[in-house]
Amino acid sequence: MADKKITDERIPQYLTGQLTDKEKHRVDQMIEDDPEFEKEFAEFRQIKESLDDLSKDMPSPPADAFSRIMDNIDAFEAEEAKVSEEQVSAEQAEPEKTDHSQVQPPLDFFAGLIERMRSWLSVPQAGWGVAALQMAVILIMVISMTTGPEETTYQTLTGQAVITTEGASMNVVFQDTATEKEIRELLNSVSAKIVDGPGASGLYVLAIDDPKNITAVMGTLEAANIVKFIQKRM
Amino acid sequence: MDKETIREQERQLLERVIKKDKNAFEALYKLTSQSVYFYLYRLLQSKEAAEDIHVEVYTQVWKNAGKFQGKSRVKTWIFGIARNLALNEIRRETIRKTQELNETFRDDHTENRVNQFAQKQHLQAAMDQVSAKHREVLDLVFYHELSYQEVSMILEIPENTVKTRVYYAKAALKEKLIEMEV
Repeated sequence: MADKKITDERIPQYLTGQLTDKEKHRVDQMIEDDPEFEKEFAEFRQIKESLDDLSKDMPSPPADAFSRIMDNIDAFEAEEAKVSEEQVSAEQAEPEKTDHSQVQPPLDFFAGLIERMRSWLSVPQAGWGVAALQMAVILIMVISMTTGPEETTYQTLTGQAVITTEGASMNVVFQDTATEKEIRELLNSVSAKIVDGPGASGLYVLAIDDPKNITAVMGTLEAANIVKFIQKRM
Repeated sequence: MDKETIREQERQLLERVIKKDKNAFEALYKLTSQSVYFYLYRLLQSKEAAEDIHVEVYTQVWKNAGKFQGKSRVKTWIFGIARNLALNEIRRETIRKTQELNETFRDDHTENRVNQFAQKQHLQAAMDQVSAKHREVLDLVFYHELSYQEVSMILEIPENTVKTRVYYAKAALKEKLIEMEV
């Protein structure tokens, strides 16, 4: 019985050429030996032949279908390119904002410091030192505020600080699969430093000390298979 | 060309499509579009809807080629996309349009065909009248000649359910033929 069920299941496979010779032979034998199976087989064969005939009358996809598909694809790609261009422009705009908090301690910090000192030195014996320490804090404030961020100094992620006003810089996006080690080795090979990033879409700002090397450096980076996008910053 | 060669060709073409090769995409389209269109036409029972969804299917193939995981044959994967889009279309249009279409088909078309044609045509007319679920499984197995495993992937049902559905579809077809011949 189980054998018959298996053979029954094989009728569609037999009719669509999916059986081995041995399996086909088994079905052929069943057709000869079992009239009920033969009837079953004949019904399936009729379905198969009927569908094959039906397909002859079926309409084909319209002649312009492929060009409609390509129009859709072109529109999709244009939209994608536009979105990525907008993302890059947004990323470029971000590093231009000067973050004064990186170079100037906030005023709140000094106020807090003075307050804490006051509480430490509120004991009468220590009162004599308050004036001197307040003077010292005020002095630090004045020094730090007068050395404002005229040149943008970034805390680098790959090494010592780079002053971008003296070098040249570029926007780079690395492949998602790029490892930190690969990025570090590539940047070391061209003496470039990461000075900002990554942004929301993975954009880094790289800098090199000598602007004369920018073309060669960009060429090397562009050729590296871990770099997805590169653009010189103006 | 045997089935294995065609499968390999489909796979190689899709690999090139992933790399955005438009010539390979066109070749893949030529290789598969006729049967995808046939499948959609039978599922949707409307030439216009089949045409629109057909265009959408290949647009999705281009966009999502990179997501193909190689677990199935490329054609099976495309059929899966076609089925999902067709089912969405059926859900959108449903009731009003499909009912309208079925009524028209039954009243004006099928009955005449049944009376005019011989046994094979009777069978074709009956096939148009069985449920979409049964028609679909018969199409996939007998016309598209897909294996039970491939059909189970497209329909997202177990292989054994495919096998039993084929038998129920045949039984439903027989019932329709009896009804029509009365």
